[in-house]
Amino acid sequence: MIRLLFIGLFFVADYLIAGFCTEQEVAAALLSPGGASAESGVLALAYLGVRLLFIVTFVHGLGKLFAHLIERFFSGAGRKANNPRESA
Amino acid sequence: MIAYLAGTLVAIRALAFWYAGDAASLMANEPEALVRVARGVDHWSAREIVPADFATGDARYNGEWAFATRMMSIMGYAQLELAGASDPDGEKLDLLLDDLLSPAMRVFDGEAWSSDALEDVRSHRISKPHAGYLGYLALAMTLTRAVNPESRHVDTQEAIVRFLRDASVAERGALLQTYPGEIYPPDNSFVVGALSLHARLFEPNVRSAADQALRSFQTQGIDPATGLLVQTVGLDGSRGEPRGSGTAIATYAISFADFELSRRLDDALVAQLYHEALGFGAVDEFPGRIDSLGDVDSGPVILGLGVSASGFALAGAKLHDDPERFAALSALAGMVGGRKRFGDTQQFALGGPLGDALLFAVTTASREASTYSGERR
Repeated sequence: MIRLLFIGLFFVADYLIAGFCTEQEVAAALLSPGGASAESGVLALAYLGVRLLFIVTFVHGLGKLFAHLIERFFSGAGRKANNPRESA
Repeated sequence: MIAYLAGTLVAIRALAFWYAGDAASLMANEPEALVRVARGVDHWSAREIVPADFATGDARYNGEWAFATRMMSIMGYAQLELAGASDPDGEKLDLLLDDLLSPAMRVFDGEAWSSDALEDVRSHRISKPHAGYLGYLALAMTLTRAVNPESRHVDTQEAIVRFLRDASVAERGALLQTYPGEIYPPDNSFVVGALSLHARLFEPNVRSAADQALRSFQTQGIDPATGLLVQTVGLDGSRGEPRGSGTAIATYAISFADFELSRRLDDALVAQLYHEALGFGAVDEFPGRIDSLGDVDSGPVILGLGVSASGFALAGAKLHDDPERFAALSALAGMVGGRKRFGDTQQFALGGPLGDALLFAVTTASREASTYSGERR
């Protein structure tokens, strides 16, 4: 649940910062003379950082979820095979 | 552990699907998707773009970037109209052309040649072909004229194409110089595209010069070993190194002249430079080399993969009907460039004016526009 919360949080943050970067013309500022030293550089780094966090939490979270589902499936199947009452 | 790995692979696939965005709709030339990309570029078209907006560290490259921003925007808008996705807006294209023709946009080329390109066109000084400025300008103007025969710039367009025609004929088989002593086949692909499109639509007697320029492009620009386009050709005809970015952008420009040659360049690029994994696609800048960090043409090169090459390659994937590759390259562009959709507008948070314009041109490229012969869809 907490993983899902983090994925959602970073997803929303990614979207909001992207909107802000677009509105503030961050990429244009980075390309312009003196732009890279201004707050545009910080914004771009923040955006890339949040995007990276979203990707990592998403991939890790979904990987864990998938692993959990597979383990449950196989352990359930195993119990059923070894359970004398069910096999009878 | 294996289950976790399988889960992460599924997650990466899902991310690629998400970041590919409108790739399927763009591939199918659905008007809503095409117009969404155009709206993102409208923002830059509405404001002034000048070389001083860029800081590449070299005044010439600043000028090239400002010029390319406007030029590629025009290509995108014209392609949109040819795809039937937007109503004709001749005035908008003419205003952008005003910008391309302005003295500020000509400075980068004029300083290199020590003479002004339009002045050389007027005085027919074909020994100074200005292929970098005039080649790109000619293709944008010819495509504009194709969608708007009443363009204010028809006379200038015709003068520039005739100038390039005569310069090509005078070279007798040699490629045209971008700057004094510098020959770049990717720039010549725009010259050839413009001459051929003009011959097809407006002046059939330009055809023989266009065909000669096309032959020169093939024989001198294409590396026989790889089938890729070389980035430079010496004045003695010696070929430089084949490159991904040059091959990918020429695949786009040459499609206006010879669609099958464009396909062959695209095939070579896929065979030698293209990589795809888990739904993301990328293109190497150099065949068999990962030691370069890139230059002004390639953009950043990371482990051999080129940013420009991967972006430009979207055009080849779309033109030559490869939806999987188009989606995979779109996924990379979406992830790295920060593609976001805000209502009915799509923009790249980290694209900037040049990135947005380039991606606009390559994602709206279509066979209909490249092979346009005067009959609208």
